[in-house]
Amino acid sequence: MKPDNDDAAIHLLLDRIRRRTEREDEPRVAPSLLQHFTPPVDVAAVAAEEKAQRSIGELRTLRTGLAGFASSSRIPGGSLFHRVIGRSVRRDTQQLADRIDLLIQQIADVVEATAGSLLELEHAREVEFERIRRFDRERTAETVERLQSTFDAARAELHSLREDVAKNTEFIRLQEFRPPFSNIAYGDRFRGSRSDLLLRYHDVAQRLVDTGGSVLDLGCGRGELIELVMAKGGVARGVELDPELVDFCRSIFLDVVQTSATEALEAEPDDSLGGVAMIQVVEHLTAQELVETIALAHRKLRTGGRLAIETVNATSPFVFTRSFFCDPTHTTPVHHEYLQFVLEQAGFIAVDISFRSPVPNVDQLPPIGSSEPCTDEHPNADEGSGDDHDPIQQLESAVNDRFGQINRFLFGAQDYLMVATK
Amino acid sequence: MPLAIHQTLIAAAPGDAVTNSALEMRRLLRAVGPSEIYALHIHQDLIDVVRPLSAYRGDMQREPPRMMIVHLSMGDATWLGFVLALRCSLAISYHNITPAAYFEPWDPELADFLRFGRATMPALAARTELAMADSSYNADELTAVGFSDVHVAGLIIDPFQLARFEPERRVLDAANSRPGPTILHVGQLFPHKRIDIVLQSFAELLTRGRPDATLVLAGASRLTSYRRAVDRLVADLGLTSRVIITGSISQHAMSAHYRSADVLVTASDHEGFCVPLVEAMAFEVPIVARGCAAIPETAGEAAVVLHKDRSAVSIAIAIDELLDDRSAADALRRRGRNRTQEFTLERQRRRFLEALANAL
Repeated sequence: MKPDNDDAAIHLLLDRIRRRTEREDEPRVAPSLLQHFTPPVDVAAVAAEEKAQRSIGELRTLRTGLAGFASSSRIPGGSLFHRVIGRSVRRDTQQLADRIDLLIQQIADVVEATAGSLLELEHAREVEFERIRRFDRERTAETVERLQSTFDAARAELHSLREDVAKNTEFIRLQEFRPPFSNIAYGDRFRGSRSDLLLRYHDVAQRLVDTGGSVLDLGCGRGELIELVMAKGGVARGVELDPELVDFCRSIFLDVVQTSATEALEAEPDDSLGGVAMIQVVEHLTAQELVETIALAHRKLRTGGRLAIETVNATSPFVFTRSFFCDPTHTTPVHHEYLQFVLEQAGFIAVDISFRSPVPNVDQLPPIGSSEPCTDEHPNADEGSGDDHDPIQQLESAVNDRFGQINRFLFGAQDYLMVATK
Repeated sequence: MPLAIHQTLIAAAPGDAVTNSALEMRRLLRAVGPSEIYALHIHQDLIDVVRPLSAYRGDMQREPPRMMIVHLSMGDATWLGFVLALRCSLAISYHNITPAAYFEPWDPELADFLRFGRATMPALAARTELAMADSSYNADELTAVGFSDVHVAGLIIDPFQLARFEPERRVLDAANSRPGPTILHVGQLFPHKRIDIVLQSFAELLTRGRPDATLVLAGASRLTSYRRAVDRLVADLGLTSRVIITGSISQHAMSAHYRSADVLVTASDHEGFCVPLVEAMAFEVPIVARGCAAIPETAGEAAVVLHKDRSAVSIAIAIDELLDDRSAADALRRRGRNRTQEFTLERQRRRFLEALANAL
């Protein structure tokens, strides 16, 4: 077929369609979208309603039918008998029909009411469903928003907590050890009595007071150094983690707070302190805490201020057989050469070291022929010069030299004090 | 200097017109430089062909793109977020976003996505170097929200692709054993496709002397609430034994359905192009359609296009007349065949490349 004919064929087709569709006069597509979608629901609802109405209508007709039957009871013939029978039948039937009518009326009422309420129920269900759906969406949005803000708040909380934790790591670490005995009793046994310590730290207190500035004693224990500084006319405060020790210090009117060394230092203005003391403290710190605390102390000291650190002498084996492990909270001994290096690196200009707490003579090897221990000097150098060439004395002296070396190695001073100046 | 031009779309699936277009574009773009397709959802058959959105950042560290072609169709918050965050210049290939109102009663969340999709269009317009639309209908929509210089290009489909698939024998046999005519509807069962009108017109057709006709609704039905309503309407209209709903089917099965159809019907309210029309022309199946949105433009003179206000009865009458009129049906087949020449791969490729060349 040629294109011309195609055009004609299609034209004819479209023409027929147009004529028929015009004739059918169909309803136009409803503009409302929702109306488009409702047929699946409405078809069922409308069908149900129609069916219900039809049934009710049928029941009503049934009633009229029975009444008609009753009233049209016509028995053929004119005899009295027939009339009597007729009346009787009619009366009985009438009564029966009335009763049935009543019954049907009641049934119809019930059916109508039920159908009505079912349709209402269906409608209510749709409305309710829509309401719930909207409510759900609103609630979901609200919940999401609430969750979001809760989440944000929790995140901020977590962030600040994390900072606190970082700050208090030292505090927490030291708090972890909670022995059932008193720290005061422990100090009396292992650190010496308060009066011992007051004697022992005279010189340290003096060197801190000499700076003319206020002194912060980190790990102040029972507060002996604070007392000494104050006795010498200085100003001192203390920091201590152990609550019992803090209470003790406060009971004798010392200014002591319960916090960690780093936190206490952080709270001070930069370049403000005259002295910072860490007496028997650094051996409790981790390597990182040590360098951080020293750097912080440097920052807080004013120029000319002093940092006094006393700790166990890591080069003395005696320390490790007698005292170091008597404190379970000791972390590591700090070698004086390393500590000096750290102080210098932190910016301290003058670092002065002195070894303290010599091992009592009774613990050392006594020289042959004497109850005194062998020391640096020849024990008998001043006596018996005329016997220098006595072979026995020579042997004694040689043995005592070796004893001296052994004593110096085994029984080095128990502590060292390092005073660094900014 | 090679030109890196990539594409992104929401869902990549075999047989999907937008996916096919993207693959064809990628073939062309790879002639000038690296080109990938990034999709949010990837059908398992395309896992090795299309890249996930999550791969984009890593890929771009190697090769910053000159341009991203954004295939805008449905809405999705994640994907739109990805698109809006892109830093390269954008090209839009607009396949139309169905108005949200159609989905509101059935899937409010999806409706929100669609609304979001349309709401982002002005923002995209401001950043778009090249705007392409499947049809002048789509182009008008783009222009209305602020796009300028919109090209009718960007949908590259091969009308004969399905025809090359071996038809599924089972489907052909079933169709051959049916006594009456087969009316075919192709497309996903979505509200805007107005399956309700299709079903009512089919019910009308059955009562107008075609009691042995069969209606095939070929296409996935992912929107379960709407699918349930469709099933209910089929039952209410008494069509259960006369309607076949295929669900998601292979391209072989789809090919067989086209081959065994006597008429293709569409009653859709909203189409940005309507690929099934072109496919039906390739299979030489005459078409009866309601003339909504881009449908008159795509159908041209090669279909019975009813006024958009016409509904079920008119469609039934048109189908009835067409089934009776062999010479008109043949004429429509020939016109359809000719019309496919408007949509040859060659033409569409050229239109796309011309549009692209304009922008680069």
